[in-house]
Amino acid sequence: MRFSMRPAATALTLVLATGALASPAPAPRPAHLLAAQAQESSRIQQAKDFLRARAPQLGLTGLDDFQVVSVLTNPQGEAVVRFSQRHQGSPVLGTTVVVRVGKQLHVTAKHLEDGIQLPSGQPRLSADQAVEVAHRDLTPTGVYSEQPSVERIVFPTRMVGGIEPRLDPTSGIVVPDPLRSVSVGAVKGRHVWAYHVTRKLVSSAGLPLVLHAIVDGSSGLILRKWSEGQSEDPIASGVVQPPAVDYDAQAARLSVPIRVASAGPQVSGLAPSSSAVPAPDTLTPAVGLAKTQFAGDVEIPTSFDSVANGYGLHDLQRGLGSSPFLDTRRLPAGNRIISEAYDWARQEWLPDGTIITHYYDYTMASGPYGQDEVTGSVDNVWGNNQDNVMLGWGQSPFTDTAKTAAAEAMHAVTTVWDVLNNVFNRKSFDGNDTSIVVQANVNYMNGKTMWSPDQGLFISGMGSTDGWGDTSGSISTRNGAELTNIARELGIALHQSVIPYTPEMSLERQHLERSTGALLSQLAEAYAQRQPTDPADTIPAAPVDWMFGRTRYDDRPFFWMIKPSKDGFSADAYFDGIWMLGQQYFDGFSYGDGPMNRAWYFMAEGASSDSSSDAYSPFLPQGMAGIGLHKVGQILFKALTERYLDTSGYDEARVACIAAAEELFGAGSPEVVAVTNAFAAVNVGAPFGGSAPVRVSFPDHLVEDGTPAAPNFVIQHFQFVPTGEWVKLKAQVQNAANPAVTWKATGVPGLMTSAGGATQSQGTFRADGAYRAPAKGNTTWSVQAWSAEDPRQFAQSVVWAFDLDSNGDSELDALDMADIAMLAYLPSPFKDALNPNALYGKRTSISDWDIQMVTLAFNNAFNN
Amino acid sequence: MRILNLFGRVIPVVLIALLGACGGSDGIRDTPLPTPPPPPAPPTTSSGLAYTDPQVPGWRLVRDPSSTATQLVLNLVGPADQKGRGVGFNLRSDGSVKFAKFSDGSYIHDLGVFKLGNKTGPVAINGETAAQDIYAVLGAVKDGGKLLTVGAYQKDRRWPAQRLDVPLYQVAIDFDPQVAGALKPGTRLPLTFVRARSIPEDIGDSPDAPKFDPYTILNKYRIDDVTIAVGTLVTQ
Repeated sequence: MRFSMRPAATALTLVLATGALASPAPAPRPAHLLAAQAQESSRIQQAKDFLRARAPQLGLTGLDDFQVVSVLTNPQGEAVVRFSQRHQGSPVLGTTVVVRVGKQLHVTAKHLEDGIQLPSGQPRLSADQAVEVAHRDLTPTGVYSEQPSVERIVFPTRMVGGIEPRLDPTSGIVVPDPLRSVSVGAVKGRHVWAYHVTRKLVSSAGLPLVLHAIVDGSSGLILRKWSEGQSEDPIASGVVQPPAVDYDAQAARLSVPIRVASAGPQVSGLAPSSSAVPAPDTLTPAVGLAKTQFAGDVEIPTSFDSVANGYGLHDLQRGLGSSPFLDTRRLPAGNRIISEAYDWARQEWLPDGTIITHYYDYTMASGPYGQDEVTGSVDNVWGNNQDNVMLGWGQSPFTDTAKTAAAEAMHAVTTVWDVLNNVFNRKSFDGNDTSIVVQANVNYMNGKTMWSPDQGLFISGMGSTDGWGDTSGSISTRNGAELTNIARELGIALHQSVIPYTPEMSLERQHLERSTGALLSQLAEAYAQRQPTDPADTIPAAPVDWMFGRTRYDDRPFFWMIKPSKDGFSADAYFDGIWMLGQQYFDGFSYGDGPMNRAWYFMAEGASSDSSSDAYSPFLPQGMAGIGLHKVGQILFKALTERYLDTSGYDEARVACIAAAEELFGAGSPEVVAVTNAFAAVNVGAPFGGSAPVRVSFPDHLVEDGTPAAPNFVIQHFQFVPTGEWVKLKAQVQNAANPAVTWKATGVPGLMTSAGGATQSQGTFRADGAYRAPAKGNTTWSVQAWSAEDPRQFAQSVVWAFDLDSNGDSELDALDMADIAMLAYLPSPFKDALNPNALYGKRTSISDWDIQMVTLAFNNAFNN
Repeated sequence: MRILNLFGRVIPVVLIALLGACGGSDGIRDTPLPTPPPPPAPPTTSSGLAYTDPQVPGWRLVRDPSSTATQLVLNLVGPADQKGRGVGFNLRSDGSVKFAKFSDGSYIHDLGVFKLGNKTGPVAINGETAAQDIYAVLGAVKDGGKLLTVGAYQKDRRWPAQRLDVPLYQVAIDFDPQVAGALKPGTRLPLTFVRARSIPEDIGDSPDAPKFDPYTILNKYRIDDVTIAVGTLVTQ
């Protein structure tokens, strides 16, 4: 895709000469892959029959069956089918089994629930009652955008939720997150009947908001809840009321009816479409010239509008599966670049509260903007190679400088689409050839790009001079439409489309997801340098810089894959608890991605044995040889699509990538050696032929011996402790002759604690390992356990400490619960007047969450 | 033990009587009589616990019939003329006995008198309170096992107060053969009441009362300090 610089006049001349040029069309799919793809339907049935025949070996019975989730044909021509498990016709939550169908059939990954024994033949609750329960918990202030849906499911009780922390910005204390916290006592049995209630709303910004609740089929308790589409806090914005924790609110909540937006005429415009809109005959493919800031002058696919006699950043040959974003706006399919500018005259307010915002885009169809600026292009030459920096609000997105970023985005999108299609036999990020829509020159994104699944948009920022978004606050940014920025976000979207979210998601999934994006950014960077004679299905051995987010003015990237710790926060190597590393950027960067990003680097480029090199790892001091980007891409794609599950973390990624390498290149091959050693170099597993390293980890319950009254916590490595009490914590040490640990009350850089994990005192450890949190309660503190045998190995965790002395007698005992019980469910003014110091202080009521937290902290301190 | 004591006293008497009968006047007194065995020493170790209930009305800990020689189960019973909504207490030992956990792993075994769940709301489906509800019940030991602290309270003031003169909940004490077992039978084991708090019957209006007056909640907010009588615990 690297083309020599072509004068603008050439492109213009060609366009004028032919009227419409054939754009660089996507490479045709090889015949054997097309033939294999045609067999997908029959292969799905083969896979299902295969699973049914093996149900006993999988621990399943005649009451279990399988439902297709997705299918793809891999580059080897095999079908890869993902199923979920069903029991007595109902979905079993969180289950997945992957079957690969080629000459042979294999189960390549599975997460099934065996031995399901339900307490009754059906739930005692009705589906309507379950909806009522969910509705009364998080109750919308307006209408649902559609009728709440409910599905009977089998729920594994180990997924029962718990109290999840949230920093209250008003009070500065850590409180239960009302959107996610549930309060459930002991649940008997491994599985129960439950209902999955799904409620759809519209956020205050007019965006989709979906609330999920798992309601116990027997008791009506909410066992788990989560939400998606949180582009805002729906409670803070007033779209949703928090759970009714006091008597008044509970009583009032009973009378709030379920109201659903009625279908009716919209305020303006045409009814939104729910299917793809065909491109008019007046649009034809063309080839434009992008004068980019980062990639020089490159050809890009565009469209020629014969009515307006101009060009648009709209690819009529890629992304033809359309997308909900385009469909609702009645825009024809195809990858395209839009602007941030609203077209107010066409904004639509639907009866359900949805706002359909029509943006100007970079086509002639948008018409002139501002000072008669052309939104498209009359000569198909885009930009001026200059940086588009935000100088003020209302800045035009249609200047030549702004079009530089827009055209650069089209270059990035096209490159990534080609990588996915030509190398991995996948059309667009989701395999459905969904149109990739990039909103360029967004003023609040400051040099970055973000995938917004809620909107179906990739949002790319202008440059900024105010340093916002940088940890130092002093480094300004360039525009964010750089290839690796956009490729990374497309990689995240790819990962999400392959691996559906479940309530049993690994806390390390986020790192794998973003690292898929990081590797795709490097694959795209190399592919963009492909010469016309290079094979289309291969990532060329072109140099890449293993950096992304390279949009700072000082030319430093946001992240280094070679040595992630160069940013001052990211981890170079894995440790237990890495998921707690911060997400200080709103677009979801995480310092915990570092080891996986580095493993990709080591795999491709090798590791140095020179300890002064950025490519040196103390976990693999002898270094290793790399296998090149193309093979690493093959291994990732195979592991991702055939082996990864929602429960996969670093350890599982290692196993999956080694298995993928063995299948692609053979057991014991140099590729398998490289994959194994690359993971070892980031402290995940043993090097090839070596022994496993010492691993320090925290159990799910941090405190010794567990807590009798505790529910099954799904939040790992996290525990409640009372302030002022010594509590004995517990860590596990594997692969060590000496299991002793040294405790430290500190945190790694970038840790997400509310009290500065790396800088402030995090409490005190006694010589016997007992821990006491600082006197300041109602917050989280950081603790670490270090191996006595291997000083490189440690585990990181967090405790949530709060004051249990509710009666103020300086004694923590069961008598304090009397005050809690007396205050329970009273509106907060009563609590403020009667006992303002109980638990969180003023402004809160005592709820079941509080009773549960007091019980857990109390038991952790005294009952083990 | 009792059997041994009985034999220790009875056997010598019988032997002397028999020997007297055999002696008579037949001139065989020169024959030395066998020396009677010495009486067995009183036992110096214990094998169980014995508890005598306190003989007072009001709050008290009484022995439950399910108790065994090695595990004492005590019921908390309240005064006959009162109702309440929950109570907690602290009990101290000198370490010679072990406060015990019940089979569910808790130091407190609720007997169902207090209504611990939510009365209404989303968890009360089909008129029942959910078994998985969160209860305001705590039980633990502190100070190296010497202080037992337990409590069970009604969290929902819409429930009425309950009569207290019945077993409300239980705690348990295990015989420790290493410590109490080394003591002489009959040794008194200190079991000291420390502190107790009780939620009284009248704590203001229930929010679902027809003429609910919120000020009654403010005016009648009260947790009473009460005294719990503890019986006598001895080894046996």
